[in-house]
Amino acid sequence: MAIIGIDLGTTNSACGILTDDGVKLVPNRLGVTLTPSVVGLDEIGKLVVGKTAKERLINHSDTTVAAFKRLMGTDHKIKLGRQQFSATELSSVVLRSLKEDAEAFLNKEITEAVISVPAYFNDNQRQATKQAGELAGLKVERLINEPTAAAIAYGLHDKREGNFLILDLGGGTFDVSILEFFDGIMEVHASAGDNYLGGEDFVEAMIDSVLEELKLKKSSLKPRELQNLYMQMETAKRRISQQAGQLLKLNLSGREVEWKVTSEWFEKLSTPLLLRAKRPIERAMRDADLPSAKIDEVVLVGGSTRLALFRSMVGRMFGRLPSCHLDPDTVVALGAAIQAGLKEKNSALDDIVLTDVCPYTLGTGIVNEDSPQLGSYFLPIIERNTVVPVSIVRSVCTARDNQTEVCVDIYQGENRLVKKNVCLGELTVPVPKKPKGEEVVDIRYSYDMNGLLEVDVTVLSTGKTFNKLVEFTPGALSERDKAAALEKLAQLKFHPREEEENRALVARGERLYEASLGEQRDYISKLLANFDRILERQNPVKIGKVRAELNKIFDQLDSEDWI
Amino acid sequence: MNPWEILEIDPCNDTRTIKRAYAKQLKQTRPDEKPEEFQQLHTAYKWALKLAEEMEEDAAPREICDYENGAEAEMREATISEHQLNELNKDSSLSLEESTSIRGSANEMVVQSVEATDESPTESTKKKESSRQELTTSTQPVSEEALENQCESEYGQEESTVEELYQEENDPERERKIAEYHKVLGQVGELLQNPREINVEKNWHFLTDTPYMLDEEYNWNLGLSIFEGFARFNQQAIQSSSKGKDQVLIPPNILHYCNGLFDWSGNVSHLYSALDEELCEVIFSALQNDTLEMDPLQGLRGGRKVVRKKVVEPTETYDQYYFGHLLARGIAVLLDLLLIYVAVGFISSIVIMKVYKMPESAATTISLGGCCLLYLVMAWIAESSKFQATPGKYLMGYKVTNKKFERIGYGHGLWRVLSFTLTLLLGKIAWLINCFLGGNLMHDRLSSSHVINMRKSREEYLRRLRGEE
Repeated sequence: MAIIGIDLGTTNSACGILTDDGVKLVPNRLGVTLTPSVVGLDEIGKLVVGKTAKERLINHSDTTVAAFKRLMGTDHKIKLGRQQFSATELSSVVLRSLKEDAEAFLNKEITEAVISVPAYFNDNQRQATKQAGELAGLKVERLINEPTAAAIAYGLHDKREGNFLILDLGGGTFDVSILEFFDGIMEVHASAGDNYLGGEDFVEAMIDSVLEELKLKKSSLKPRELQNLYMQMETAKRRISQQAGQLLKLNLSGREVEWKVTSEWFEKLSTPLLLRAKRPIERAMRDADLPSAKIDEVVLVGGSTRLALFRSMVGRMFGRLPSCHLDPDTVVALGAAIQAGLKEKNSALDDIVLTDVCPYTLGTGIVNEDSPQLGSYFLPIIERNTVVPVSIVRSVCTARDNQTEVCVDIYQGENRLVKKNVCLGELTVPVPKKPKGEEVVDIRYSYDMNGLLEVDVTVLSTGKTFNKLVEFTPGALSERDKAAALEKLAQLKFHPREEEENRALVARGERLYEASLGEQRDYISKLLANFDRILERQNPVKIGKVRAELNKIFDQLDSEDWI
Repeated sequence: MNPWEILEIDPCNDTRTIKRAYAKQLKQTRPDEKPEEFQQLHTAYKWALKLAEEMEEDAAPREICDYENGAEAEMREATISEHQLNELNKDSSLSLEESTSIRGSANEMVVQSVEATDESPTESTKKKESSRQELTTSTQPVSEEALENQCESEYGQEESTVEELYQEENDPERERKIAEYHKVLGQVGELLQNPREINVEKNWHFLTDTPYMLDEEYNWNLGLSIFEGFARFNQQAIQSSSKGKDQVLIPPNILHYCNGLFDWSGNVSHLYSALDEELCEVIFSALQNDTLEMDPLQGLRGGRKVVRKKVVEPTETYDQYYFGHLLARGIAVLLDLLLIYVAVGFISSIVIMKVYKMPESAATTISLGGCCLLYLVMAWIAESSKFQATPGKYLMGYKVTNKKFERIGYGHGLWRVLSFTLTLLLGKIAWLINCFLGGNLMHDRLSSSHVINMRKSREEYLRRLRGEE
């Protein structure tokens, strides 16, 4: 039985598999390897995923959603039409679609996957990703960090030894990892990142700047205008380095505005984001304790690293050109697929061992007697960039006389005060009444290869151990929630696979129809009506022919390049 | 622990050999299969690398900086890296003292370190430290000069140092950079004199207008000058407000914006070594007390609406549950009735007397009957609500649950109230039977619900956990 590797991205997702003749990317129902991470419901309540959904984002934005990865591990729910979905459920829909693609491609059932997550994802976000896999009917025993996956793909591709700096700037997250590759060992020295920095933020900054200039407010725009603006800015961002001085026609609040996209303008609004990107790089270099001269190769991963500004910044930082000879969009999926093969103990890869680190500090809160108004102090248990799997025990004692319970809060972060770190959960254990300081509990944190944390608390005097009773985790599903979510998702079906190409085409046509006026509009409407008639006749050969023609026409009409 | 034994090689200073040995061992000790052995192996490997480095250094003695020694001593203990942070902090405070003492003879220092940075990079940390120091000393006077007007402080005498430094390199690019730096600082000064404009983030966007922002040297110098300007500004504002005068502070949102651009919080130790502790405190305490939270909704597209699920407190579960006592439940009912009578019944009986001119006894009977009906409605709502109890039961620490000891729904709650009314019809016989049912009364059984003494259940549970049986 095969295990697939999945890159579940903010903007795009991809899926790969290791076969006897190398790593292969799985084409989706449209025949391409990238599936936009967009989910929607159509008029008859069926699920729409990928390109079709992305086309529908413009005109049906209230039933379609994109870039929900950032909400993983939070309690937010998104309303699509009348139903509410959590980010975990939406991700599971994307995963299910990828799973079906892989099943169709390999012609066998798939029940297990390795999913990549940003290295800087916290425990809640990792748990949520794992659960998304389970909701999609995939057993997820292994999560792999995205930069590590990329490094595996590169390491295997090049068979080169040395220190690599991997910069992964995706749609919504930025990750930095420093790895060493030698004798079939892949050792991660340090990881750092920013969970709120990615290509989408550049678009967001462009939009904020445009609206500020035109004295408009985001909330005053109609959803369609806003989504259209997003699409136009995304296109402009992609073309910025080839095409200087693009002229855009923006339709905002009922008036038409011409907007000139100059590289100076883009440069100015990118600067704060690029400065933010520098921080994790500097921190990872500091943590790895490596001088920049010892970095043998700087590798760029993620679609947003195509930005020339980002490249030149990296070039300036390291005094050399970064390399990116594998497709930055799919390299993570390739790496995840290799890891999946490794897990399956594919003989060809038996000689590779991977060691990873925990990218952030994990600890607990301890009573702060000096300045109680600041809240508890943070007591680190596992320091950041400790090699994993690791298991560390620290002892704490009671703070008050006759204390009956000890509450162990589980926190992640670098601040000395717990309230500024991320709460991962808490666990309360009862202790016998004693004068303060006499009761001691051992707190054991075990961090596994997947980046998931397990906590054991032992009360020394009674010898009782309480484990993994993480009673409260934001965004996590209890068994009951999971059953309910499974039932809800089972009600939602995809359209038949073979229809998907037609549906994507119609969705694109509809978007173009709404975006155009006058004669062109009539023309598109006629084309679509004609296509509907042909679809009804159900002659596959004829449909295929017309579809190809229509695609060509739409390519000419469409000025956007955003998928 | 002997690292060489674990790696199964003889002590050597060849890192290549150590790595090869580690790789060989690691393939038998895969981290996912033998986590503990792996940790041991990894510690041995790191330790062996350090030892090898030391041997190398002993062979060819060179200058070793303090930082390395500290780190090595740590590795030898091979404990959790917990101490390493402390050690680092100690080191940075050490360098802090050094640099302040050096500042007096800044002239020489500057020239030296400029040369040092021109050389090929040797020690990353060391280099960074020294380049930071150089920049620190060089900009100190400039920033103060530029901000003189509103800070009312006169420190201009060190000007010659800057001039000299800038003469070191006659690179036109660098001159442009310096000109830009002065220009921007001027703008900052102007903006600071305009108290109404300070707190608008947009007004500060000019800082990113120049591509030099991405230049390490420019960024650090400008950041330092602005940091100092801000600190002095806020310090003065705090002082004058303590005297009763009202002066604007630079608000946290602007501080966070600039912190994002100049990474002050990432360079805490450098800033402390460059400026007075008090000045740094002004800014850092403001940044600390008001943290910037990233909005996860930023960038999310589409969807009709985003709702934040309320965090449901998970109900605790115990291994054993105790039924409520019949007598206590009776008292709870009486308490509830009393509450309703005081709140509603009493007034309504007066109203009935006055308006309908009924005799007092009749009015009281009617309102009492009304109270009983009201009680049933209240019991239904209260017991099905998240409190799971009427006020009387709540006081007793009782909760109404279903057979799985979970909260009952409103439908189930209605059925429970109905069953209660049904048993009431039996009159005194119901009371008699209930006495023998051990807390699980007739209407409880009929509606398959329980009234549980949660307080007792919890206490007993905790007592058992503590092992005090």
